[in-house]
Amino acid sequence: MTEILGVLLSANFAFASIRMASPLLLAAMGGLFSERAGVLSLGLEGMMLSGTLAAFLGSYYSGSPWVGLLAAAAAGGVVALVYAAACVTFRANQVVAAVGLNILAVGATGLAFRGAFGVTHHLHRAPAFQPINVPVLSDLPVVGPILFRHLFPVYLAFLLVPVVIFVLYRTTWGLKLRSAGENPLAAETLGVKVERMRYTGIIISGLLAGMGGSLLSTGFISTFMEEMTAGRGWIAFSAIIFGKWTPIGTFLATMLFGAADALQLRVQALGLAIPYQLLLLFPYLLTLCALVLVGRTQAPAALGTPYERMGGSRK
Amino acid sequence: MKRFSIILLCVVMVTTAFVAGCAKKEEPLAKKAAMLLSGPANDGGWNQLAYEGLMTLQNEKGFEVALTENVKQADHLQLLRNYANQGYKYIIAHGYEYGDALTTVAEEFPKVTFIQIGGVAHNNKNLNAVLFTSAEAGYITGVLAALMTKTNKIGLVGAVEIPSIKADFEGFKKAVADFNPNARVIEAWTGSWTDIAKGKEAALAQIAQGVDVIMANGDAANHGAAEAVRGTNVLYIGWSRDQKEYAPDNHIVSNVQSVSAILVNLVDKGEAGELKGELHIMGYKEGAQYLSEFGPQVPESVRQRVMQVVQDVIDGKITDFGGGQ
Repeated sequence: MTEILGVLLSANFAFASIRMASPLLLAAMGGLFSERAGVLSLGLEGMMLSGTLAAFLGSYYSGSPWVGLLAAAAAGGVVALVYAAACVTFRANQVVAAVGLNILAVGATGLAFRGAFGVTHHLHRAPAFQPINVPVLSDLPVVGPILFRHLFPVYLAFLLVPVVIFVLYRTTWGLKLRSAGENPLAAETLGVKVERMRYTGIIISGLLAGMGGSLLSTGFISTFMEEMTAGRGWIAFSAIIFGKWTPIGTFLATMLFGAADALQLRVQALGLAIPYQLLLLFPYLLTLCALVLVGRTQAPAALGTPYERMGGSRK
Repeated sequence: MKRFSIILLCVVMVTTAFVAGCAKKEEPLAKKAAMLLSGPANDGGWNQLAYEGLMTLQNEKGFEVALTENVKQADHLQLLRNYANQGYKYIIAHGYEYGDALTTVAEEFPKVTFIQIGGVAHNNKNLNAVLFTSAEAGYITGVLAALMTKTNKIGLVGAVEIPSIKADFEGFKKAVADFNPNARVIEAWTGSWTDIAKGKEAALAQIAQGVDVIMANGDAANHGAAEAVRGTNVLYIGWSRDQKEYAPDNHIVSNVQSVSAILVNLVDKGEAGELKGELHIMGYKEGAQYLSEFGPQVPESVRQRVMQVVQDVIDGKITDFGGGQ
């Protein structure tokens, strides 16, 4: 028990928690825009995976992870655009569209990767982001090594939280976006272009989820493997619900998940007589318990419902 | 009219079934080989080794080949039957997990030759198994780790706990206990074949505990562990193939499994009518597994001790590998 406590208090654990939470955080912050505009962000996994491959290819061919990051955002955005077209323009069932898109992303990324490199056993590596030590701050005792020696996309993820809060709650645009998710009919009567707001929300989710994916293939890891996002998009999605559709709540949820995963791996490394299966499911168990404690949550009222313009101007 | 259509449909169906049934009996099996993989063919490890064997059958032996990747457990029976129905002469299922389905389907299609790689399912007729002796390979790599560690902490990173990886780890731990009783082996599982980031995190967590030698087994676990050790002084032991390029400065050895050569060899035997549905044990003795070149960090004395253990395993002087196979 004291050993586990030691892990919890170690700087290594805190550092790893932040690291492991950040891809989830980027994707979840993006997903918030989609969800608050009234469209389920179930497609995050596919957007992330596309971003993972695009980041790798971009960085591999240009020699710069920055190009990779842009490519990742673009790839996520393109997948999101397809999703938006299906959900908003064609008013498809969002769950079906998202699941289809996720499966498509698995196949498409695998195909593209093989198209580029063939099926060879050689390890293909791309230049990855290097840690940025924030001047002065990174030398602070305790806090410095934990908070200020990360990769650029990690900082980006955390800086996004206040930005998202500001945009969603303090700008007219944020109000319009949220109104599209709460009561699109009322919003439309007041001149809000609901379809445009939803398109924008979904595309933002794609851009950020793609960037979250880039952390995997050109951040912590410098190679690509099929399905390497391994469900992180789904976890980001659940973090939004768990976080009651608020930026702060979502942020805390992703942090909890990152920390739980970092903790279970460290407890495995202690070599205690705890079955590893139990440790592997610990993050999920914790999330489940937390969900129960959080209690009833209020989703955006029009979430998941396709919006049809007044008077059925387009049938 | 409607009734007539139904009758006509029935007639057509019965005739087709009859004709198809007759045709199937006479048709000799062509030189066709099909393969099922549970993961992607470009995983750089276990599945890729089999894929390369299949390509050899195609390019050098003139086989028409088919491949299904990322096969889920629920689809085993269906896919095996599909290929058998399509007249494939050899159906190769690559992994322990196909054992039950192969046993069932091999009974249904006695003319088709089935091969399981990495398992024990055989029926002395048309179902052949190839088992890699993971435990002895784990033991041999474990000896090297036991002799190389300075902190007396050694890490094992596994992807998914399947019998072959489990046996590998048990053999490894036995060797460490035999050769360096003071050293502690720390084991971690990521539960995923594709989550490289988690493999890396698992290895980093071990390194934070003072581990200075890591052996990894399982696609993403290998990639992840290699990513974690690069740029550190932690030594890396690879699996499946020579993984020197994963971490050139840290790699001290890999256990190489020559899946491709064995597969081609088995099919050659089959073509000569010598395949009898047996279990083929493939280990160091058979030359099916061997050590890659040692890294420059490994001193000559250690190399000799490890090679002596390899010889003892081949000669049958060491037989206890922690209970697994």
